[in-house]
Amino acid sequence: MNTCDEIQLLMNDRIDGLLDSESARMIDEHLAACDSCREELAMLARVLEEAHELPAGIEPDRDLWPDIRARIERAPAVVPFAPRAGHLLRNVFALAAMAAMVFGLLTLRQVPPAIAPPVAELTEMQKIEADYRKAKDDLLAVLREQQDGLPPDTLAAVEESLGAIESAVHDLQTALNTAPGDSRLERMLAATYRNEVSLLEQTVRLASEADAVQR
Amino acid sequence: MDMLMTNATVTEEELVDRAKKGDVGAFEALYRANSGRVYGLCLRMTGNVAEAEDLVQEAFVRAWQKLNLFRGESAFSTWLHRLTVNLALTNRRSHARRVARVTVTDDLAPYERETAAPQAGLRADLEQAIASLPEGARRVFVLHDVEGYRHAEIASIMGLAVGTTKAQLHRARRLLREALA
Repeated sequence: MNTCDEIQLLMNDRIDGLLDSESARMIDEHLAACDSCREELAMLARVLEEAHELPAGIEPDRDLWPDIRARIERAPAVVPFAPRAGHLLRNVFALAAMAAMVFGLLTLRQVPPAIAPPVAELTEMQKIEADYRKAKDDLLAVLREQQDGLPPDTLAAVEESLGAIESAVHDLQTALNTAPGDSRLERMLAATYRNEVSLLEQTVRLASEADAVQR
Repeated sequence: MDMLMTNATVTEEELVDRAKKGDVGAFEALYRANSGRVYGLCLRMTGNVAEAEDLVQEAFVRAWQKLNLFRGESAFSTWLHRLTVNLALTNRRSHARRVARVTVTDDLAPYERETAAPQAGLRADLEQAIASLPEGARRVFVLHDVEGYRHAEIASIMGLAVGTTKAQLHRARRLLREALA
């Protein structure tokens, strides 16, 4: 005979429909004979019913938009590249980014994870982040002024490659938030930052050359 | 902006397209349509009004900055919701490093405004009980039992094993049963 504690643990799976029929039958038999567990199950069902019926939205006490607007007007704007097809260049950029990533991973393999103390690496990471953000902002500012000189396919390819790299940055940042100070993740993130800056530098160079030709 | 807000024929997709081109007014319309949903999620995930407000702001600023990554494969609201969940989880982790103990809200006003039904009292009690849960248990309960995420998804987002999220959910439900008994 199972104890009430064991039954109450399984009740969660029972109510979520995660038990096989044999386990469900065993619980039901216990419930039929145990007032205490039956009451617990009824209470659990009531809590879950209420939870499911909670309103999805709750309006904030105050209008948060003015603060958000002020921040997004200070933040770097969305890069307004027009999305167009550009398979060849897209593949070239994607391959370049991938190659740089692979190079970064190979480099990582050669560096022992414990090469520097975590505190020093965090400080270094903060510097890398600051350098990356400044370089990215500067390059995007230049690119926005010169992007009209680039063929649409190139713009589309760059946009797509930037999207892929930014997704990788986001995933690595999320992973780092789960494992703060993980030196391997930090080096991967730094390598990905370098890839993005490198791609932007190449694009700015192309845009400058195209601009010079048009003049 | 006013024109956008009053023109019911403007779809979410059109607003997203305009916002991607830098139209702040279109983005405001997206904010107005989604702020309650995002704030509700943030308030329940944090149990703290000030922190929830900060998170909402951060979520919309991030959404603006990452809008060019949104490909329209899901609804904007779904994409924004996922972004907010990720942000709430990462933000909580960094916040937890700064603050030893989370102060939960005793103010039920934000919840009570939304519950005019006869069972408003019970709902407000439940909201307060959720806000009082330990952080890990609260996050898993909100994602699983309020937002409808599955254990595998929660485990993936939080970087935990499924067994851990199940244990957190069981703990949350037990504490809520005790609080509401």
